[in-house]
Amino acid sequence: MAHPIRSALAIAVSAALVAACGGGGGGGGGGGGKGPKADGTVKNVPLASGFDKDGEFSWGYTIEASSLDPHRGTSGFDQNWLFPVYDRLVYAAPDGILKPMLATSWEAAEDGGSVTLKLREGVTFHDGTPMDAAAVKTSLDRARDDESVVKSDLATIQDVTVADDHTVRLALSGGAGAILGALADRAGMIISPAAIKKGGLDTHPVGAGPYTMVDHKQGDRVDYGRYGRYWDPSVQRVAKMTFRVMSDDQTRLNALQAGELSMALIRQNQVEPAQRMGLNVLAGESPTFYAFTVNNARKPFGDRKVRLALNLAIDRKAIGEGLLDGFCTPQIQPWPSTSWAYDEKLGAGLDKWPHDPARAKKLLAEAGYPKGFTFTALTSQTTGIAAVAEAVQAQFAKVGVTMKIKLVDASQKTRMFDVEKSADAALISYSPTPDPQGVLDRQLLPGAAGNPGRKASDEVVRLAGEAGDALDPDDRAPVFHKIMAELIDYVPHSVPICMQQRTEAFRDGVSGLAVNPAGSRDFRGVAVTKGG
Amino acid sequence: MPDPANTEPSNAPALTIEGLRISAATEHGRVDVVDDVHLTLRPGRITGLAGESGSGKTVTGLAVLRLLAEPTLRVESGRILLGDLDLARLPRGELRALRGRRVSMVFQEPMTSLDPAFTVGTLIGEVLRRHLGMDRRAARERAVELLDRVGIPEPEKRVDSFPFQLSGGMQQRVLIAMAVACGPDVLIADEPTTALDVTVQAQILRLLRSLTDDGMAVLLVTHDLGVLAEHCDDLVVMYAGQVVETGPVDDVLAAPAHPYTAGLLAAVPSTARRVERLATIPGTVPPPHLLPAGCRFVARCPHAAPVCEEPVTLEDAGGGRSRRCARAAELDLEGVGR
Amino acid sequence: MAGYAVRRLLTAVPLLALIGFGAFMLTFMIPGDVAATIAGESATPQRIEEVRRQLGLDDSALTQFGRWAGGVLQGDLGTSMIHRIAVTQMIGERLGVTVSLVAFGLLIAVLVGVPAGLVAGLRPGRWTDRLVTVLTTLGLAVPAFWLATILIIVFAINLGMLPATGFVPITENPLRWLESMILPGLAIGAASAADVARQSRSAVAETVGRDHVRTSRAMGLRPRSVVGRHVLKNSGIPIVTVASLQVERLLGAAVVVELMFAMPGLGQLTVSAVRARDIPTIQGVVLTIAVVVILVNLLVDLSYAWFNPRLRKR
Ligand SMILES: Nc1ncnc2c1ncn2[C@@H]1O[C@H](COP(=O)(O)OP(=O)(O)OP(=O)(O)O)[C@@H](O)[C@H]1O
Ligand SMILES: [Mg+2]
Repeated sequence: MAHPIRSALAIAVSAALVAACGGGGGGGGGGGGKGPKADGTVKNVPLASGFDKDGEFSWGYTIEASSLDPHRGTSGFDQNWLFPVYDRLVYAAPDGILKPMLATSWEAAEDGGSVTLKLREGVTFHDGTPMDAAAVKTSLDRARDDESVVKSDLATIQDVTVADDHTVRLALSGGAGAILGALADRAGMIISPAAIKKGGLDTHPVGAGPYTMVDHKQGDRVDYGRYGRYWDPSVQRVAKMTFRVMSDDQTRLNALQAGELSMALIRQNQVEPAQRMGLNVLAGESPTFYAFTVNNARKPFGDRKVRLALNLAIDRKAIGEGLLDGFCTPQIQPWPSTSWAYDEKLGAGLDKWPHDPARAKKLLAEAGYPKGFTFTALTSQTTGIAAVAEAVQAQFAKVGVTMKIKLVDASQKTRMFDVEKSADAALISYSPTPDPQGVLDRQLLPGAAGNPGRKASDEVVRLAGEAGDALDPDDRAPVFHKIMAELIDYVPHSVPICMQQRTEAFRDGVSGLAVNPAGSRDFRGVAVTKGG
Repeated sequence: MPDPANTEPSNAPALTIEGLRISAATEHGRVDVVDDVHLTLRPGRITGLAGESGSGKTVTGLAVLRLLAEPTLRVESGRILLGDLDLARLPRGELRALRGRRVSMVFQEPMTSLDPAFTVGTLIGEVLRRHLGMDRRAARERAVELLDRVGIPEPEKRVDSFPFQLSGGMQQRVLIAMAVACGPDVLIADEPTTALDVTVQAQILRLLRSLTDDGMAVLLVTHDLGVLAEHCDDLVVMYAGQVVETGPVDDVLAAPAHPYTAGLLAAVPSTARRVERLATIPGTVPPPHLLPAGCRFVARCPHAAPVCEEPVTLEDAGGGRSRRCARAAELDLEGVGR
Repeated sequence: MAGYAVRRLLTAVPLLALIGFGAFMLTFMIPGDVAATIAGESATPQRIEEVRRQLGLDDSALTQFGRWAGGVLQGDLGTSMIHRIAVTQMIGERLGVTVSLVAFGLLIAVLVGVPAGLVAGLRPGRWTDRLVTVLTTLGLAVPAFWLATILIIVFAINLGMLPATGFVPITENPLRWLESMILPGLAIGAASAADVARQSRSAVAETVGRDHVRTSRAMGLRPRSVVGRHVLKNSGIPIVTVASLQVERLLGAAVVVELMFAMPGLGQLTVSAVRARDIPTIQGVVLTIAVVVILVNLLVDLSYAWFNPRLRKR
């Protein structure tokens, strides 16, 4: 007879095993092959002529949205599910340039103390409520309340005021440029005020985007249908979209092959198999970084020589191009090459922090550790980061430093490293916000959640304030280049190893695709041909 | 082939077995376990089938209903005649229609021979419905009558009992009720009372006797000389797979014609009342693969002579008797009085 | 019989309490911090602490269990910490998938396993018996995920006959439900069918040699009733027992197969809940499964009494 305790245990154990083996959200597992293999992939697919206006686009992704409420969802990958429904105030185009969306124009005050946004007229939410300044205020205020997960993105907003029906003014404590970047992401998604009042946004999103949510089967799929009163019908190139949850990597490939999906996230080691099946592969900056981070308030990481030595011990090329098959670009800049903040002159920067074990050893000796030292690094078991950690471990061993690896859950890493500050170091993967300011806010500045040691270069702190004020990327870029130079000199507690590429396979006939600079999936303007 | 009991030509046999040979697959290859068996069952009469363990009684009985564990056991030759029908050659389907309807069988272990998962009413009813096409209600009513007929008290209540709720004797009555439900011509009862205690044994045997009143012929396999003497009309004695003697019980017991029969009787101190198993004769029955070409009893026979080395046939001795002994004419064997 | 069922259900209550408690304590051993997950990626340590307080995660495990158990007694399984949806609603949506899958697997196991066991057991040693033995050995050796892979490649991708992923509720479209069940059902049902076949074979082989089966034959019953009524009913207990054990096996296999076929079932829910350390959801699933298994066991026990009247006296 089946015993209930045994059965309950059996399913729990099966589940735990599957949970341990499966991948996380956007992270990519590494294959064991040699040399870059990113051949035959494309970075974007221009719109094909003769696409099917009644077509249906379906996409398979690893994890479902934790919630369809932009302000409440706990996962950093929720926005993928939200983009079709929610238009943002500002649109971050694939080239990283901010363009009008619900806001048609914006202007910063001379003193940088506020930004004024002009709103698009004649726009209505899916429930018929007009999109106006009051609605924007309601939405932004909600995005800044205590329960909001995007609160910190809007931390510089002091107040939102309705100037007239279609004008809102954001009073800022600084960082006018940075705030616009944030408004292109989840924090800038504008929700129908009537729907906020009604509640139920976790499962019934109501925005002003090109598609309405038609059906939501938790753990399975979200179906979207074309919104008839959308302000820009030219981007509504398919009649229906379906996003499906398929946490198993092979399953997504199967579904693509069987024609049950138009497109799906694939792992880097699936690129070749997918191409052999006749699928096309989109590969581009994701940008999810693999990074090595220490608590610089703990010994011996407060010492710049030690941090530099560890940096020189890491062989970024071997990891990105060898271990990860060329699907992780080795670089030391913490933003993608597509970002305006990226310093083209510096490039990957591998000459600044070259792989130089001999010099690393010398530095360690100078710092008083001729025989090296031992420390423990946390790493998550849910993404490909574990393989990277092992490679780093071997590279450190070559300079006499013993790094013990402790596999923990991502949330446990947050608890031990960020909150309790009880861990020496961690190998992490992080996705910056569309605006490079986010990297500073979340990782590098003394108050950043990812900086438990609370130490940073004073010069970086000063420059960060300066960089946030300007609105125009052209004005901000030079400041970010200076920040980068200062980071190289200071050697911060957190340094990138390589930047992952996002890989997606798609069937013939899918077009109008481009890689979103924030690494998230916005299928705005996607099209399919008949039978595609 | 002689017909060993053809004394009353007017009384046609219910079942006749002629020259039955059955082989079994053993570790010594395929050997005959029953050979040249002849017997006749007559309506209204109980024929006792006696013989030491392993002599082939059960196999013979099973062969009549073709219930042998094939392919291990197989009828090699011979005829089993039920009227004009040769049961040994009848197509399976036709044979099945006869089983339980014209020829039935009752087994030794009532406890295990009844399906424990059904009520006795269902079990009996099933036979009635199969052969007589009765509906559920009629079958049930008839089952109650049958239970009453076989002497089960409170039949209306018992009809809903499961076998395990009945005693061994009651179970055997239920089996008999199933077997005779359709009024068969022939009932083969393979040691139906061995597993039961003495008083119950007598009741069951009296029941069998009463059932022959309607003309049913019974083949009663038994080890028990007391049973033979008291409850049977005719006797068939088997030894090592062969019939060695047949005849009316009283005649055979008074004057056995085969040394084996005499040996059996001699080994019993008194058949009066006391119930004894067929007794020990010195020596053992040879196993089927080591049988001599001549008389199979020769090694144990006090009267063995060179003539016994030759094959012996079953001979008609008149008076409804037959025997398989080369020296039968010369010997004067001692029997028992009643 | 009804009284017996009620008594059995009552004794299940403390068992459920024990399971609930055990599962609750086990979830505390899952590494991770749900508060950190909920607070989001950019949350400050202060915010994380605040979330902990709000969710009552700073209370002792026992206090938390008490609060949860109190809710359960009032029929409230709580709200998913991650999805902020009532656990009963989530489980309700998922249960149909897993129950369909397990029932379908069980159906395949019984419809294939019992006849195969019957054919083999009625004539032990024959070529049919040997064939069944080979197939059962194979069936038990092949893991569900492997079989699923083969089935998908052949029937979904190459032949395009059946879907490779997804689930359609039976209420929405029975035909498409059936189509969506066939491959995953076969994948998880194969090992069970093999197990059922093996056990049925030995049960039937044993029963067929029993005296009462010979009696049925001697009474002239047709093979159909001899086998279908007498042999099967008397082999019923071991067959039903092994079939009920399949529920456990199938539930375990369903976790993997649901993922492979992208079916939103309980297994998938459990995986994501364990991953996120979403205690109310994990607890809800564990309780649901325990109740299902207890009900299955009760049905099995009641069926024993039907197969073997001797047990009815209890
Ligand atoms: N299934 C079988 N396979 C092989 N040999 C068998 C089988 N059944 C019976 N025999 C053999 O056939 C012979 C006759 O057996 P049978 O059971 O008919 O004897 P019996 O006279 O009924 O004995 P008992 O008084 O013990 O019941 C024996 O030698 C026995 O070993
Ligand atoms: Mg016998």
